Amino acid sequence: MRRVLAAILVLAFTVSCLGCGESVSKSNPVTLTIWHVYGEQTASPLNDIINEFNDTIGQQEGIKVQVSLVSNTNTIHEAVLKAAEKEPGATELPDLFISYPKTVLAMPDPDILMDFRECFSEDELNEYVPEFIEEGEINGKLLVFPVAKSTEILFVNNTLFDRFAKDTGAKIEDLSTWEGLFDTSVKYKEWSGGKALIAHDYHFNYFQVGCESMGEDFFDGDAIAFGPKFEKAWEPYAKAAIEGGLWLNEGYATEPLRTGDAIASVGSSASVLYYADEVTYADNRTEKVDITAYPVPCFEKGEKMVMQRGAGICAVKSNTEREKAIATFVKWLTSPEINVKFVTSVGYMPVTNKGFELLPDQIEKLDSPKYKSLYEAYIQTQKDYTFYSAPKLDNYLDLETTFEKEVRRLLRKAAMEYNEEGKEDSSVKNREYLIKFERDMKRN
Amino acid sequence: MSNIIRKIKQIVYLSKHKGNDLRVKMMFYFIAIALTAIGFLIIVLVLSGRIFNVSAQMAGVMQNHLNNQAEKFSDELTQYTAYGIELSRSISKTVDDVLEEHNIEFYQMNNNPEVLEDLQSRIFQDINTVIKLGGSSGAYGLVDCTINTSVLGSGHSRAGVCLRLANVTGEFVLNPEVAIYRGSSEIARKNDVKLHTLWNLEFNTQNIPGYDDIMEKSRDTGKDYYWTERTVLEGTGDSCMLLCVPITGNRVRPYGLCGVDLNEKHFNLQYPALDTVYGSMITVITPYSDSQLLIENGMTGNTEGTWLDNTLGLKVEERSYYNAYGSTKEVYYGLSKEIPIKTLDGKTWMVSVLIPREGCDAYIRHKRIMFTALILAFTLAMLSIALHLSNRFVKPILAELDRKEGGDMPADLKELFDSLTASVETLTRAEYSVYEKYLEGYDIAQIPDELMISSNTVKKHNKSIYKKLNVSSFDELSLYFDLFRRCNRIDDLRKK
Repeated sequence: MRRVLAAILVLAFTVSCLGCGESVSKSNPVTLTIWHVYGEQTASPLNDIINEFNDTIGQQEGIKVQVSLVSNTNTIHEAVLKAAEKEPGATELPDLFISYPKTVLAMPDPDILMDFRECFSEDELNEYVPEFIEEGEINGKLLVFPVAKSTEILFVNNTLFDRFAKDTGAKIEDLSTWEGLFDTSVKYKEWSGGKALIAHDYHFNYFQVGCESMGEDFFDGDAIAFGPKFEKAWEPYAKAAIEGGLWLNEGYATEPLRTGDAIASVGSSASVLYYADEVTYADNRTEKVDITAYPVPCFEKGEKMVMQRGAGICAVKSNTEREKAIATFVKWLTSPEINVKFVTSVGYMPVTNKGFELLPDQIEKLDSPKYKSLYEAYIQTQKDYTFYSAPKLDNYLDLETTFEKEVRRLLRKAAMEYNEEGKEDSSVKNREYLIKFERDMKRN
Repeated sequence: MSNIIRKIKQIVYLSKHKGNDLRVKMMFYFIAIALTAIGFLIIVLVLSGRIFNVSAQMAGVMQNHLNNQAEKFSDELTQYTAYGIELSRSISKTVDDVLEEHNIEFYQMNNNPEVLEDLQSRIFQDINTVIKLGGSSGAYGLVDCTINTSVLGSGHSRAGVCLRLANVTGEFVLNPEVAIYRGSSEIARKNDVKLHTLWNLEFNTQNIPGYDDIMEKSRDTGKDYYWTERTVLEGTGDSCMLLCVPITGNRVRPYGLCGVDLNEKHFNLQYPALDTVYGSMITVITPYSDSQLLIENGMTGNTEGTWLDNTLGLKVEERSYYNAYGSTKEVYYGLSKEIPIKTLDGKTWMVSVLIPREGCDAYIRHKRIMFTALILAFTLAMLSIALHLSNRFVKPILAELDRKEGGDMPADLKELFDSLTASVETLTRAEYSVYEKYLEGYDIAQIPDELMISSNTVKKHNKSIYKKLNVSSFDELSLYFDLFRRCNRIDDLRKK
């Protein structure tokens, strides 16, 4: 009898253990959210690449990447800081976001981010361009992982420039130096009846790279040095701005090119995605145009130097399952074949050595002459130029924002005064506003 | 069977006539038996689905969420529609003001950049207010005129303003950044608004479903509005449902069209996936036709935790507690509820909540096994307790009863009988007179009257009787009387 009782109790215990076992095994995918910058307001090519991941590796591994925001690095910067500081009303941080090191430096606690060294072996990291890896290292941790790199490029509406050149004898080579470009811009303003030739997306970078290319430090500690080379860069630039050859309104350079209010721009190579192949004039006439890319101008007596751009991807620490999923996705996105396909759809450069080997073949496959010219300019830039990386200053973003706002505001004011006064020579105003600008920046 | 009943009666009798200790043990025994029976009953009911029905519980959770989502969407849609209608009235008045101030007829706005710029500048403010306060991700207003009738495609080109949020985010932003998607670039610059990446000067009415129809037939702003199905905005990554409200005025044809949009990104943020024990529960709002949810034409909430493809329709199969929704990729369980949306084609629209089938099935299976296992374990435990009690307490008593019935009295019982019989002889005469009354079946309370003695005397005699007979109470004494009576030896308890 005792045996029967013991058997029943053992059975009861076993059955109850069976019932209280592990909860339901999750058949649902691990969903990773991402904020990125590749295709703001357009049908983003990265979204298509992500769909490809979800339909292939994602399905196999049970990982789904969900895009929750496609914007620009400034918007993401603000949203990340609000979320990291747990500001009331802020959206939660996504699992992955694209940003520059400056965003990570501004975060209250960068330790909430994953160190990619923990999920990439040394051999794997050796596959990447070393400078790109170094750029993402903060306090000894690899917090910003390279997925695509860009640089600054000169875009020219060749259709309209040729019309101008035919009448004035101007040449596209004139745009290869800043002095020549600004000089041409003033001629273009006269020829076009008041329109600007050039719009620059990053005035701050113009001065920063300009000074460095002429052998002078742009920064003095965490402030702007305002040395003699700054003045050298200021003079032709301010002349063009005051006399109307340089576009000074807020917004991206793609805007005036779309409306025909400017015919050339300097911006990120990634902006190729946003240049329309037609210009729409104020009377609703449209004109098909050819947009062609060239290496950025340099100073006549300066080194050929260009800003290294392209934000990287950051990942928020999570449980092991999610971190594994993050590593799987990032490795897939930066694998040479996928990476080359991705970067050439958005105007960027690959991040692995093997990717660069595959690039020429991929360029051959491109249909768009605009994209082809971009990659030709890119290759030319790589051959002739030194790439400059901005220093990792805590106040970098503040300096950049203030600089951009102030320089545009002051020069708009100067241009308005110059127009009202109707004087021929703008050099006095040029000098006056340099002093004002230095004073304002130092005060800020 | 009669044997079992007889034994139960005997146990009941014993438990009534024995001391408290035995009664408690008997009570436990019966409780264990009852709980075992209940356990088996519950297992049968669970397996037959009459109780602990996980499917019904799941349907309840779905129904609650569905009702909440349907109510939320209805409120949102009503609010957007109201904003659209108010915007229409406001633009109508602005058009009248502009026509009066410039002293022209409506058609004279064609090829008139100055007037159109003035008009756009004014309606920009209305649209900006709607987009900033109304919560929608885009708002627009266009008039049935164009800036240049001589350009190719001018028949479908209409002047107006369309503003869109530069970024659709879930965060609370008091003054969100907007971009001008359609409208004069000059107005954008004057108002410090960026051009949308895919900016154009005018609207292409071929991209507005039903535009020609509404311009022909519509006469009443408050009645002739409609919502479009989800459409991708020309060249953008945005897909949205557009509210189209005619701008009626002082002419037969409407002045134009205006409205707001419900962006899928906005919908995605407003309708997050609900993490339930059954899996991720998502919300979709779609047209319904031929037993199919047309996901590709409707709005999809956040699909976190699922593989839902918003380009594939879902075939609906009705079931008892909830429906099954299947595409070529995945099957979902869920519920749907009709929601009134005024559309051009008059299709029925449904709000549906969906959970991937795989997770639900796994959960139901797991819960059934777990519950059945627990009840089975409980029942088996009760059964083993009952067996234990039966072996330890009930079985010996019944065995003794059986032996007694068979005339074979056990030695210890015989010894008890003999000892009691001998003890009776030690009682005094007074004590025996009280004891004899008990033997005849009297209660303690009846003794004083019967023997004409006081209660205290009875108590004193009782104490002495119990001591001499080695019993602890009147109940125990009664139990022995009964045992002797059943054994036909009651006379042994009398003095010789």
